[in-house]
Amino acid sequence: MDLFKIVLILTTISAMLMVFSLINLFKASKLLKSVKSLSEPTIYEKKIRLRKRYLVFTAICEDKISKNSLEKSVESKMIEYYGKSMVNKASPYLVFFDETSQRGIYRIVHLYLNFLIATLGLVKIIDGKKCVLIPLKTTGTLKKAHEILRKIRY
Amino acid sequence: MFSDIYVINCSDRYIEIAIKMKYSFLACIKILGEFSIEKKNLRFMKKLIIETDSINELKDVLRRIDYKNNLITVHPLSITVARWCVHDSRIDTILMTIKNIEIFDKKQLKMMRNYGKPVEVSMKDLLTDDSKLRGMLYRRLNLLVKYDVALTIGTGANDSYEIFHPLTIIMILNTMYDMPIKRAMLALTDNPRQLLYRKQGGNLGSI
Repeated sequence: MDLFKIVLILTTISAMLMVFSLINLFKASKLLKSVKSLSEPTIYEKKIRLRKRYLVFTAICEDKISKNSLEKSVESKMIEYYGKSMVNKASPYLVFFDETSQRGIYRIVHLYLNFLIATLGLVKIIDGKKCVLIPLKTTGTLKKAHEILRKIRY
Repeated sequence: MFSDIYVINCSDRYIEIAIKMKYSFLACIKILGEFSIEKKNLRFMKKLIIETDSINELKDVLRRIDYKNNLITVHPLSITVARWCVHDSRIDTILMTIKNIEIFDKKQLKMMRNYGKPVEVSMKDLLTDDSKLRGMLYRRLNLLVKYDVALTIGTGANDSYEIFHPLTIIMILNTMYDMPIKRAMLALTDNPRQLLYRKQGGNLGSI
């Protein structure tokens, strides 16, 4: 009977040791993997090519507005809501603005097009005059944007 | 195609710009001037906003008004009113503003989902300058998306220059509040359309 007890105790101890060793092995394999990943050269993601987008828009205002005042107010609103760093990355630029028809073309990096469209909605006062800026169409080339500007009737 | 369910003053100029922006349904508190509605293929509805913090007062007002031909919005200022509004079929939307934003908790939103009651948010509140309030709105709007509660957006425009282009509203919701574009689209198109559908007893007509 005593012998049986001793055998039972020994088997339980050995089983426990087995479990511990398995856990340690698992941990060791994880550690090995992390060490290996350190030694391997890091793979950088492929850099996205920044493309330009041209946004054709129109302004409906109380009185006619100038190109400079429009550009200033759009940029200030963008800084106010999205921050200076975002504006630097997006680099919005008013390529063309016809002061008679109150239509223009904005250029921006394709990743930030949504931000520009949202900003056009946020601008409500330009040079002390109440205004609504309406995005009309987006294109990939300036030539097409000019074509749209000529054709579109709003 | 697009709907603006919260306009304070619908003037002729406002309607002219709204047609240009392809709005097809407007809910106005005041309709100013005479405008040929049928010609322009734009639909109107009178909107009533009831702001209250007691259920009895709300019941009293609902008894007196013509809720069948008007779009009824309740601006609840207490939790009890907000909970009660959810299961009353006379009420079309529940307005969420900066004043009552704390009422809209998980329980309220779950109830609203179960009863199919939409939340209405005004653009004026979405563009508040207070960053703390904007953070609260951010969390609430994302909870709405999570719990699949219908959302409707109104501009809350007083004059014609306070109107927003639908695309800009969608992009504002997407960039400032991280709302998926599809859900933002629904807030301007399908959700208000369903409200109108329910109001007209399943007859949408030309819309």
